[in-house]
Amino acid sequence: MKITLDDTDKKLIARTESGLPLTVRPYHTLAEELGLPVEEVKRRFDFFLKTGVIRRIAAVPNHYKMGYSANGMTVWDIEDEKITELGKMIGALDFVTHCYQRPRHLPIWPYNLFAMVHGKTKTEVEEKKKVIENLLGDYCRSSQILYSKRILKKTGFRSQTQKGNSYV
Amino acid sequence: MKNACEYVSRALNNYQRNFPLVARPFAIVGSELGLDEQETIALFCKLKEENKITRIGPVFKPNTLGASTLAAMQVPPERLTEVASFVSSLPEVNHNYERENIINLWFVTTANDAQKLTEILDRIEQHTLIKVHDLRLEEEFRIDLGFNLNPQTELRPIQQFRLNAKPNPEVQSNLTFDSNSRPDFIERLIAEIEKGIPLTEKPFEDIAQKLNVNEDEILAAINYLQESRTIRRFGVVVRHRELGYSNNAMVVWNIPDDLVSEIGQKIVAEPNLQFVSLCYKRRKSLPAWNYNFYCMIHGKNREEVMANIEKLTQTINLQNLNLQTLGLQNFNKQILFSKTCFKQKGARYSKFDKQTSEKLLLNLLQEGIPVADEPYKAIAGQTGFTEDEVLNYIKTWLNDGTLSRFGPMFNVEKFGGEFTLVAMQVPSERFAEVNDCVNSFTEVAHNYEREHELNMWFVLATSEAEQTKHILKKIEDQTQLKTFSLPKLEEYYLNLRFQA
Repeated sequence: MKITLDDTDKKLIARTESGLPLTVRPYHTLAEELGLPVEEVKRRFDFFLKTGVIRRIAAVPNHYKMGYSANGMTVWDIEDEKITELGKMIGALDFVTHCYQRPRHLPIWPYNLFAMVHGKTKTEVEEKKKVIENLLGDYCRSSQILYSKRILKKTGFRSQTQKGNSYV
Repeated sequence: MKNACEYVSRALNNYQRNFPLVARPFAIVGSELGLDEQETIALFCKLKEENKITRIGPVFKPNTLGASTLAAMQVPPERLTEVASFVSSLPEVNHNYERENIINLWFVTTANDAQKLTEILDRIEQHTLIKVHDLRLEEEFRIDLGFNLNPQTELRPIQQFRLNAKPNPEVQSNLTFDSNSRPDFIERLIAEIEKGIPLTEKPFEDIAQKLNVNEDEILAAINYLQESRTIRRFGVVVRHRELGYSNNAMVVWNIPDDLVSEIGQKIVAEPNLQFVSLCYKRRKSLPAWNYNFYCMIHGKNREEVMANIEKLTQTINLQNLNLQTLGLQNFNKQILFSKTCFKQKGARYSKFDKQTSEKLLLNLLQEGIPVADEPYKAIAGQTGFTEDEVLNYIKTWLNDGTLSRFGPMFNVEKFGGEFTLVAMQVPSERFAEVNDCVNSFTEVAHNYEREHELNMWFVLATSEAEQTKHILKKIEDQTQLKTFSLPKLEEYYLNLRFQA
């Protein structure tokens, strides 16, 4: 179900997408900045959280800085009839942070299941990949780990309020 | 003019207990040693530099402020270095020694509460795959009253250098501060004094200024902690190994439970057995460790210690219920000399262990803050920081890159947008140029280089699904390279957290 956003919602999103104001009472700060009653600001954020528009209001870590320098995107070519069932199973593993089904692009890209595995070393990631391999058994035809070399950009969602290349 | 050695010897032996709790303690100590205040401070500074003393401060009664235990492991010799290193690396481990026995690794762990203590021991077991014997203290007969460097004399008896002249017998001796309910001030005081008082003219005034209270409150609080037996002693903590007492034997016996108390009390009451520095009863860990009674004996050489053990064994006799005379020689014993010292530092009880609190803070911030008037209040309470300190950490971590962002994480799909993963195969000589082009689009939320033919991977986050196609076309036009769109067809899991 798609949530419709009104102009005030969009203003709040635009103001906070790069981060919450860093004050002891951030919702009060937002209310002052935007000329809204603080109760309304809180109500709207509660709504966002309840409907899933906001997953949570939290810190986004830079995992490299925290020692998780091996960031392995494991990808798998799984028999199509089995993908949902196996995908859910892999997604439930505690070391898998994201798990999705995605389309193939044959011949260069034969994989349809993605599972992100983070670790402090490549060895750790490889061990975790083996666990996934064992679980998938014969339903998996091929697989790979693509390690990230560099983070080129990490800004998160930005609405169209900035200059530069854009859809508009 | 008395020689320097004598000052040192008296300084080390006479102030392990009952260090004067007054505004200018080194003036008092100096007057007894025959030195002026400055010379006295200089003497203790020198002893600290030479590593002969660790600090002048409190020794807390174990299991009062937190929970602690002696633990032991049977480590195969080829794994000893590795396992000992791991155990020593834990901040909650304060002593860690190799001893001469098949159960060869012995360490003391201290934590804020019993549950945390068990978790630490479990963690060691899980990491090393070796059983950890938890030898919890059951009864103490003598513990840490100080280390007698001159066994010909007794450790100095109690002096009345206190604000209150006499100890208050009314004060409960079993007062404990549950780490969850300690008053804030006491918490901060413990954090300051457990590492030792500063070696200055007015050390308690210095501490008072740091904590924003006055000197009297500090002295009264320390007094209170002593009288309630939370602090076992307050004074010079010597490093016996650096002072030559490197031979230390842990002698253990298997004594029937009903006889242990009597034997323990006899030992500590016996003037000829002052060389027994510690004496207590601990839990057994069957079947591997069938001993419950412990005596620690330190000495300058092995022969001296062995002679003392023999003396101890011969001295203690008692009658059991059948009126048989029994002595320590009737019970099975083992002698475990210490070999390698892997770690020796004071126990840290304070919740304000900054490193641990910082890690906890980083993890809690990833869980999130509520929509509330004071959203940082709960996290502040859980970590022991103030709300302002929490915010400063967030700002610092954003600046130094530990955190990429702090705020709401939007799921654009909920309001009609779309997240699409896209991959490109970029020739290496064009990588920088294509990277700049792709990053210039505001809709590109993340962009990573990966090790594959498809070497550029980015996520497009658009507020309207239609836009994705158009942006990809723009990118293809601008770079003349194909884009491979890999949208989510099904989501099985999404939960990004990193344990600090």
